[in-house]
Amino acid sequence: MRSGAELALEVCLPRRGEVTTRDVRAVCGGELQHLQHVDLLVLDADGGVPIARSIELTEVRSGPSRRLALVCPACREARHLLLARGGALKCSTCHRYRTRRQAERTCTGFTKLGGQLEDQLLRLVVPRWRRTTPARMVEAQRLVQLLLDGDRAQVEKLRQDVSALQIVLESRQAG
Amino acid sequence: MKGAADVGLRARIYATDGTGEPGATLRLAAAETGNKVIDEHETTLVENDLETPVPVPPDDALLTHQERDGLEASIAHQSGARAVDAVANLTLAPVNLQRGHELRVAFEQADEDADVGGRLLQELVAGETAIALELQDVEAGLVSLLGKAIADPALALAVTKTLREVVGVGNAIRRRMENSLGAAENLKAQRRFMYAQRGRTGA
Repeated sequence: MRSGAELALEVCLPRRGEVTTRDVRAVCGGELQHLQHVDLLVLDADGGVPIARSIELTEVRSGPSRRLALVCPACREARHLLLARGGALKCSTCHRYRTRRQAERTCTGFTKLGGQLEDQLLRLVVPRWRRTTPARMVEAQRLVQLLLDGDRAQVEKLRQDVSALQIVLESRQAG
Repeated sequence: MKGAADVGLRARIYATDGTGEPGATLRLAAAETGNKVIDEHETTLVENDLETPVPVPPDDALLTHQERDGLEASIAHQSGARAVDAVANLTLAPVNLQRGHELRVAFEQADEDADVGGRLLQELVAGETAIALELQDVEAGLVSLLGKAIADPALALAVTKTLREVVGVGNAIRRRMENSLGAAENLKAQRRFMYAQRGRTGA
């Protein structure tokens, strides 16, 4: 048995620039079954103007039952997640949205300068569905310490490089 | 493969024949060692002392998966310990540390009821601020060095490469701070939304 507080915590975890059927269900409750569309005001993920739009509702098969879903305004497909980016509210396919790992997995900043650790940290700290647990926070704290230590080590290495270059310059000028 | 072993193709070196007669050295070498001559008109071959046995695989290649995992963990632990030792020796400038501390205090005052995740992100941003300021000092020193080394092409190239690396690290740190602050704001918005919905969900 879960308490009401835990259930409430699980239901309502909206993210900026994203709207899901869970969010809509949390706000509208039981009335959602009788609605044909919902009027949404979603904050833009890029910090732009919030998007106000009427989104149609539909049903999709989910095992033996049927579940409510949002209709993407661009492709008219049933989706559980719509993204607000660049002034448009569309599904991730229409936005050609890629996760950070997909977009940057070959970049130096992701592989060597702590981008991967940062991505893991943000996934741990800002959960979409799962609740925040003490174990996740311990892991997040470890990642924060790793990131800070790695950056300090980078700065120290660069500082040593600068010192070495300075010594070389002085020796050449003296010679 | 018997023929290859007989003529000792492994670990031989090619040598030019100083007499101008192809194969003379090879015939001489073959007569001394008892090996067969392949073709007199080929480039001459001379036996040397570099004949080495086939390398035996190292012992760790024959380890079981568990033993290998243990070995890797041990190596990782040792390198991690070295990294920790190195990091412990690092010192940031007091003024930069002070600025990071001031930022941490400002975050705490602005968002007193932040949850653990938000506090972690604020801690990360405050720590990264001190590092970013330190990196700016390094960058300034490097730019002044570039001005002095501009007459020396090799040194100027080295300075420029280091400067490029500094800028890359600085950009990565700044982007990390932006993302962390954005995520902290997301958490704050989630918390406010939960408080607003508390009465409606019965909690």
